[in-house]
Amino acid sequence: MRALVLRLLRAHLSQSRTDENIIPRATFDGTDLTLQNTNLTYTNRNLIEGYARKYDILLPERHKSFLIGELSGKRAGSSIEYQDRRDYVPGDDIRHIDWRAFARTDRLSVKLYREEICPVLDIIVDTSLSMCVTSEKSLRRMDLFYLFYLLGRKINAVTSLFNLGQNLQRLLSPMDITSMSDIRQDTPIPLLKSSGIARKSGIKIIISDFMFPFSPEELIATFRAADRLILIQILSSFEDDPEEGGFVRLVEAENDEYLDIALNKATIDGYRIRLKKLKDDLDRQTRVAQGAYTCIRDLDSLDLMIEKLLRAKVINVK
Amino acid sequence: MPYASEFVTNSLGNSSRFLISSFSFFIFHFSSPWGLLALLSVPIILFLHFFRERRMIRKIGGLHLWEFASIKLPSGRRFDKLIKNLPLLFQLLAAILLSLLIAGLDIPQTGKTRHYTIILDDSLSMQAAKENSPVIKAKKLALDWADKKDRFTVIASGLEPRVIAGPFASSDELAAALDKWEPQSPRCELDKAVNLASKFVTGEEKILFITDDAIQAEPFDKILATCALGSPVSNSCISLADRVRIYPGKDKVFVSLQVFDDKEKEIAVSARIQNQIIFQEKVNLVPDKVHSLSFETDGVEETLEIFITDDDLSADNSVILPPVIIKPVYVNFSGFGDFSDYFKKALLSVPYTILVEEPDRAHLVFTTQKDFTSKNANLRIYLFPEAAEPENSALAQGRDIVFELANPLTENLSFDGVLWPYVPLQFTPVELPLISHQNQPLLFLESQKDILKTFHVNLLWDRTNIYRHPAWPTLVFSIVEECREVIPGLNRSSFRVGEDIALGVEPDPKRKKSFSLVKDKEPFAEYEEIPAVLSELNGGRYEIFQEKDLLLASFSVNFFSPDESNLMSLNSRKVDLTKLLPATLVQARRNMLLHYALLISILVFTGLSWVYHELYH
Repeated sequence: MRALVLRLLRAHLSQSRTDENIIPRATFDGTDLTLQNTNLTYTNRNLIEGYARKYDILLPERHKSFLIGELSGKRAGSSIEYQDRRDYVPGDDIRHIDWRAFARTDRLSVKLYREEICPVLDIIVDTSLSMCVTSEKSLRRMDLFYLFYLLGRKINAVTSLFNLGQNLQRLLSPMDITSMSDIRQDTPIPLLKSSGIARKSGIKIIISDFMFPFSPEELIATFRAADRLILIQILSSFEDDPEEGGFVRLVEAENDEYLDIALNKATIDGYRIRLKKLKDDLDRQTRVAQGAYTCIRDLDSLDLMIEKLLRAKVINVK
Repeated sequence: MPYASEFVTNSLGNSSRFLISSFSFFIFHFSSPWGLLALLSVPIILFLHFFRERRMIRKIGGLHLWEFASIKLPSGRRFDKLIKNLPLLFQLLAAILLSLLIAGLDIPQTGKTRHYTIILDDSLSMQAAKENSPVIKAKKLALDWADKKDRFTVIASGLEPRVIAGPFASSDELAAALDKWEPQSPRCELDKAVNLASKFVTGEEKILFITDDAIQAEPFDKILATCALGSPVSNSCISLADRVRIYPGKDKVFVSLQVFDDKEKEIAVSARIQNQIIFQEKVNLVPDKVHSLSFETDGVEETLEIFITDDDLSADNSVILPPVIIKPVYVNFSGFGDFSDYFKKALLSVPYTILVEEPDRAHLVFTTQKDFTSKNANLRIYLFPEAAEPENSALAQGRDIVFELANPLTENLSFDGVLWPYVPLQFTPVELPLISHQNQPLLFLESQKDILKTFHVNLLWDRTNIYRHPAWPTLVFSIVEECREVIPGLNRSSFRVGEDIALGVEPDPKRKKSFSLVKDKEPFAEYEEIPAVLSELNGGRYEIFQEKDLLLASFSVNFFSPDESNLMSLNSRKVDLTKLLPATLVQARRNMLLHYALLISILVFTGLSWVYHELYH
């Protein structure tokens, strides 16, 4: 009965959010997943749904403002499930004072109940042109976007989908990015800063190649209110590990600017140093912020992609 | 290293050029002008640089991460880029230099030297007197006189002149040529040699002629500086020898001997077969008189060697006579009725003639069948007309009969008193006429198809008296012998030096076409096709083999040249070698420094092109 009441309450609360994003919030049980635009060609759909059944998204140990929900939190909360007791300290809710214990022991103590939370999950996907330099890179972006969307639904999280293009726009369905024209962007940091998403708590997942000019510290700082910041970097094979070759003209996918370079050892070594610094900075900064970072290569298999997510503690086994 | 082009300037300063095989431009010289076609590589390189897609284009994100490696490309218009494109320039330079190298670019190094033209008497008499022979003196004279810096053209004057050193040979090449030189010719045809040598001289230059007999050079005194090294020597020789088959199993050998001396000389004549003396006789030779002798031998299948007492000239003291070659002629005649006996008598009087009944087996056929055919490849067919009505015939008589050609069949014949009835206009004038009557009626004609010859004899057999005439057996003999000559194989086994030897042998068609000529059991020459005629063979025993084991022919060449054997006329004459007025040879030598400089430049420019390409790109 209590659970029913809570579900109704949560449904009411989430309704207020879905007025904005209209995301279906049906419980994900592996069978009733329904999506719009199902006529779109997305080859990895079944595989990703399989992975979503097998894994869970790793929730943060601390959270700032998750809604009350049916998911057990790791902290004490306000559910009816008894967890422990401790001495009363000023400021505790006097409703939780264990008067019976006071009568027995003359000590004020409060009962602790397991917290029940309803996570908030914001998934931001980079839809800029650089995410489509290879079809594999584009597909891997779709895989990850869809996976996190399903994982969010699986835990009944309040899931919001955003595409990070010329503007930060809310999406109704993860499949929308397949039909979405990729939009040029220079650096998205100002856009993220100016949006309300960055200032809100919850789990923030950013799927991008992070190949725009930016400072990792600034990016992390932008999402300092988040309970957990997950950065998923997708790179094409050439972007991640270029090989020596001849004379190449590199064209920036975003703005068609180009550079003529010789792919010799010195050039590649220089590039690798710069890319490694970017990756290391992203990794270090997200760790400091209790977040997670991993880099997926476009030609990585789905198994390897999942393995990297597990290693980065983005997901865990159910 | 001799250069391909050499110039000769005579004492008057006129120059002429020999051995033109190159192309000169200003001071530059190209030994292979066609190599300049390699310059076509230049527009090809330019084309490739202009139009090839120089860079692979790759779209990426994060271009800012690559900015450190940006290449500063030449700016400006395409032509400016081209000029500034150092790898291209280096490639073009390398291509041009390589073209010049292939074309044999050279700035020849020139040097002056003298050129002498020398004629050597190549006749056998130069070998007379053995240790002190003119040939030894000539070699010593030439080598002592030849300067290291000079150039020489040396011509040996035998039956045919041949250049044995040069043109423009060095002194070392001269020494090597003289070392190999062995005079063998039966005579010295000096006019031919002078004709050839004059092609190598210019202006007032004189040709040095080294001989053992200065008299033969007198007609050429203006152009020759004659150095005679001979001295009179007594000599005896076999001036002629032959063997004939007098009847089966018996040969008769004829030998002619001569002595060239002031007094009589007694010599021993011997003949041997396989080291066994079969004949020996002492002969007292009288000067200026030919002494002949003969003997018979049963060794008809053996090679016979005849020799006389050795003297200062060995080559004319022995003769080799291989077995006599017999080629029987198979003859068939038909259609002559009662007159066949006349044919038979005339034919049987010719040695080694065999009458056969079957025309297919015959080499020689006499017939009146107009459309005579045979399965066998008959060599000769004599076709007579069938009998005609008297009113349809005409008559040629004796001196009215005209011999059209100097043909061996009709040579030395007289038809005085011969009645030659014939059918007018029986033959078309396409065939080659041999005998005719006042140029109108054709009496005896020859038509040829390959080796088969058909003779049309327009002679009405039943009304002529030719078979009673003395010319008849001679004509038949000539006909048979002419046929015998075309039967495959050698006609004789003994030849004289300088004589052309018609082989006429038929190789085995089932075997490979590989023929070898062996002289005195030593390999002498190899042929892919058997030669029709061998000429200029020196004395010795020769054999021709197919595939080295099938003997096709065997013969000997003997030195029968009494004029050359006469050493009494040899004389000597000194020559002032300083008055030869040699041509000044402007000799060009390849400039190897330029050659190596080109080579190194090509390597350097290729390397620079590669280095700059790597640096830029």
